[in-house]
Amino acid sequence: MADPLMEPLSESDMEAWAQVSGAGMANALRGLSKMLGQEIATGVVSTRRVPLMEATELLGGPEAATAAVYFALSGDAQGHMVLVYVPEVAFELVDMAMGDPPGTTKDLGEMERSVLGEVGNVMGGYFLQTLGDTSGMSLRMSPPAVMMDMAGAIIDAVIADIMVFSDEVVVVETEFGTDQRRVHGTFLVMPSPTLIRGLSKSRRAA
Amino acid sequence: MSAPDNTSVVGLGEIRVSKGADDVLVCLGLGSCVALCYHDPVAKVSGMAHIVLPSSEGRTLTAPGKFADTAVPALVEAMTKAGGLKSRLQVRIAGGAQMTMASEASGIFSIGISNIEATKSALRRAGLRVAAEDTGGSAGRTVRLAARSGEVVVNTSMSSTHSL
Amino acid sequence: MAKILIVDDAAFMRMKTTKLLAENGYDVVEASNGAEAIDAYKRTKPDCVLLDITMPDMDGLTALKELRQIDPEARVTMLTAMGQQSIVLDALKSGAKDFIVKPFDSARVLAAVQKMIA
Repeated sequence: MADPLMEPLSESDMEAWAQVSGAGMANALRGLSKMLGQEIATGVVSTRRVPLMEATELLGGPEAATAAVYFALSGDAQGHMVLVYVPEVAFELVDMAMGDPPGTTKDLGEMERSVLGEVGNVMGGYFLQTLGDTSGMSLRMSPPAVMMDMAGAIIDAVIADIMVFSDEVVVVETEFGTDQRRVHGTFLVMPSPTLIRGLSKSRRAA
Repeated sequence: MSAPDNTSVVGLGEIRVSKGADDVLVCLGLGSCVALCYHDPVAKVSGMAHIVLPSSEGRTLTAPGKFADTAVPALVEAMTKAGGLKSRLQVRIAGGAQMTMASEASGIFSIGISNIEATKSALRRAGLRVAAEDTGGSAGRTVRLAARSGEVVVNTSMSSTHSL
Repeated sequence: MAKILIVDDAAFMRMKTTKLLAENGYDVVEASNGAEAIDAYKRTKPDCVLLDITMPDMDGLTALKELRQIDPEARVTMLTAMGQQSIVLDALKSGAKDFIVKPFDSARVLAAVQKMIA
């Protein structure tokens, strides 16, 4: 009997994931807009499969200076969520959330890390709410882990976790930001095949 | 990547061997991953593996470099094919950081410690001794290996540079 | 002056909530995890508690149950992220008076506090 984790995802699985995660991203941005008290626009939401070998390119390449907030997903299915920013943009986002003038934040101390973590909590929570409402699955996110380092170093443990059962990863990513103040970030979600199949199944049942 | 032409990037799970005068092998942005570096000073051959996980758990492999237990012997084999001799190999390892201690996320991030332990025990099994290491901690590393001299240089993101 | 205990692992959330409550004339005590919360509750005997659900070490639900054991009359409102409905239901069953979903607005926090100490 083949390991179900190793079976490739079908086109309809991927389609279901694209639709639900697109709605989840839109909801996540609503959460962020509410938190910051201003309209945050989202870019194109892209869903694709990426070879694990190339996954660091999603963060700008292995040596790119990166501030990231990581969440482990657990519950009825597993997965990973990562919010990725260029460090200067992360500082900018902290300034916005704290109501400070641009350029105030220059490094990530405890307070700044908790701001980025809270932004992640809100976006991740809204995203998961959409997934849960659509699929009936119960999904939980870990407390945020805020990191600032080379992109490859931040993400390689996540890649290792996925590599145990696969050579590629399904991602959904979008950019978000405002026109006035540049807070462009990337929101990456890497679901396990179980999560995608769960969504796909619940949509067929609906 | 804007690396000079004589630099070869050793990607996740890859193994590369080189003997060119100015060749450099490099693992970029290692967190929990481990750069396994071999050098034969007589044959002037160097080899590098970019280890991602501790154990292959008996799986059939397309990329033995991915796992500590298979990368150690596979890199010996690749070095031997390029004219190196196992008894002359100098071994250096770098990487295996734990990038975050945040409690519930730290499960997957503790893989770096397992990678280091598995690499060392595979080296012991192969009868190879570690000449130098820069492992653990919580900072990312870029590791460069000069093929001809065998010099290993580690850069961390917080801009410190040192040789092993 | 009513005394309020704020429990959240995120320094940013403690800062924001403390500022809001202090500006509205409340006395505020902060704790950053469940264990600290229990300790602060015993020590300072607050009139009510705002308790985050997702915290490392001891989570909010566990802390709530302990608080209610120490003081069966403890008045607690849970602070929750979106998508934690099942935990919220558990918390309400375990004696929480109310819950507030993050990101919360000031009026909602003040209303919850007034209701608890009324």
